[in-house]
Amino acid sequence: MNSTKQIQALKPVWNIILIIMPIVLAFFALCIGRISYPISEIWQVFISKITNSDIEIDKQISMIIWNIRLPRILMAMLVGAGLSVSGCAFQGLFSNPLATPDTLGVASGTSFGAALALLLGCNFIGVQAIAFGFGILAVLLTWLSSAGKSSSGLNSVVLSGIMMGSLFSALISLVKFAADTESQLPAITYWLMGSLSSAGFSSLQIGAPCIIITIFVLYLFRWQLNILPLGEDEARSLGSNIQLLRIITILCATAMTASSVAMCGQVGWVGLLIPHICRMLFGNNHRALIPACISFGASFLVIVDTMARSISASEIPISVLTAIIGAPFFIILMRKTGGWKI
Amino acid sequence: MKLEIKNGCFGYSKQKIILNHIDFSAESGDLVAILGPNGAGKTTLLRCMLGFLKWHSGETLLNHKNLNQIPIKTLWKQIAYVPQAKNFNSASKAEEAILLGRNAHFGMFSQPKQSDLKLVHEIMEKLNILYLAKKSCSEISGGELQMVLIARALIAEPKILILDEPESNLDFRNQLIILETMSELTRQGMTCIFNTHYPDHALRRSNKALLLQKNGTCKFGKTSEIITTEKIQEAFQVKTVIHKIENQNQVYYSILPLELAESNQLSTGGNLC
Repeated sequence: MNSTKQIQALKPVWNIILIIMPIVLAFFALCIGRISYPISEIWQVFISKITNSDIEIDKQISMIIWNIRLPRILMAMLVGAGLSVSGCAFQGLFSNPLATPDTLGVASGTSFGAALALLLGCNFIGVQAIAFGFGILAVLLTWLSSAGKSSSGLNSVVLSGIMMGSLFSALISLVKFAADTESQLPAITYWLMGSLSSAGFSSLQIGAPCIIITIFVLYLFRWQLNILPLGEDEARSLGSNIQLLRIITILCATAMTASSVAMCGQVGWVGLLIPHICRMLFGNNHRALIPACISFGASFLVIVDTMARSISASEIPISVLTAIIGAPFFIILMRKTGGWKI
Repeated sequence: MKLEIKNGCFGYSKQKIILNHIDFSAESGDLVAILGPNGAGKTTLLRCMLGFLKWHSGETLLNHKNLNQIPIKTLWKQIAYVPQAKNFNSASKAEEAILLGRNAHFGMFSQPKQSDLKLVHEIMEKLNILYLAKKSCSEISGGELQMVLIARALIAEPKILILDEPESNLDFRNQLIILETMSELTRQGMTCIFNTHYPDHALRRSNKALLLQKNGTCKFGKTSEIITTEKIQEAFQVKTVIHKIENQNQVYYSILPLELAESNQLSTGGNLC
């Protein structure tokens, strides 16, 4: 055995499954929709787009697959992966199994920003930018309000996060109250329920780099993340700079949540559900958890979004489906594995 | 490797001083016991000693160098800390938990190697806990968990081991295992410093002792000079007697508490007859 080789955190077969599963699902999702196409046709569209050749394909098919379904599926994968990794990081950080991406108020802040932008009649890019800004602002406020004179640790951060979350929820209600009931209020309500229907390459261009970079940073830190749940003295005695590690984790998890929510509204449940499924399957080692969360999160949201847009004639809000599909699945798994611990 | 505290003073608030002019030193091969009544500041002393809390005045020196000026990775390759097992809650596998102790040897982004895992298994083998490797830390006994935490500290290959009440809450077989492990490590040239509630363990195992008083001062020196009936009475307000037991040509010392000392007798205790 080569002793300088990394320890395998996952069995090789799982490594392969984790890589292939989201890709295969994405291809299937490309086929499914209001109009279904065979996989060969999708292949042709890809080849013609990549090689820029003039193979005879229907303009309409190319348009639907390349400009409508593809960005939407890519966004579902990114948002699913981002929210799962973010939830996983927050659970480790607070060593609390109930932590979600919204623990520090970032999702509420982002939603408020989006609602405000919709009220002001901003265009799509404006909504996304303002939403992201308010998400970061909410976490900054949480951090500032918890960093009092006495450093009572992470519990005060969680408490101020809950306060900030409820403050921004109240502000969202205020915006809804002020909104025009004919046009603005439905738009805001629909946005809050979460939807990927507005996905396009232009909105991906703004949101995707942020999610990809922050996921990659946490992936690099995956071994160090195992130190996060330990007590402060303990972590320091292992020779780690725990303050820096916490700040990096919060920054990355916050940024990826804010970009996700800014792109497609509040997609509930994913950040709690996927990390726990991964914990039940692979244990608490972040070296396995982070890759697993990326893969499972991406796959889950692709499945759910495909159902949301193809089950009925009008699109179903995605948060409704994540809960309806996620909750029973979660309960079955919990009963089967006998639960989990952080 | 020499660890010293010079004139250490500390209090959580300015008004109430907990540790007052602590002087202490330990060298290779020393087994030092820190004793003191509840609330005298034993754990606080350890936390100050390791730099988790800042001394108000005075300093901790490692080989004559101020502890705070040593880079963290360098420092924690030389000193390892074993926290109280009762505060530990993690459901990771024992071998994964122990592997974390290797962190001081890693860079920011590096991942553990096969050779590190081999080291984990070697240390577990040495401590006779290899059978725990794949078990979750939340499903093993208190004594086993304490051994896992000691293994985690040892895998950093430190010169100094600092343990916070390692033998509390354990039955006497497990206590013996922990104490014998510490004795063995000091025989190999390591320095062990441990907090304890048992004067007996200090008397039997350590060659140096530090006795904390309620007023924050301390007495430090050879165990036989510090753990005496007078000094124990002064610190704990308990009258004791020190036994000498001979068994199969070995001499053992044991300390037996007799009664509460006069000055601090319970108000109802005096008139029971």
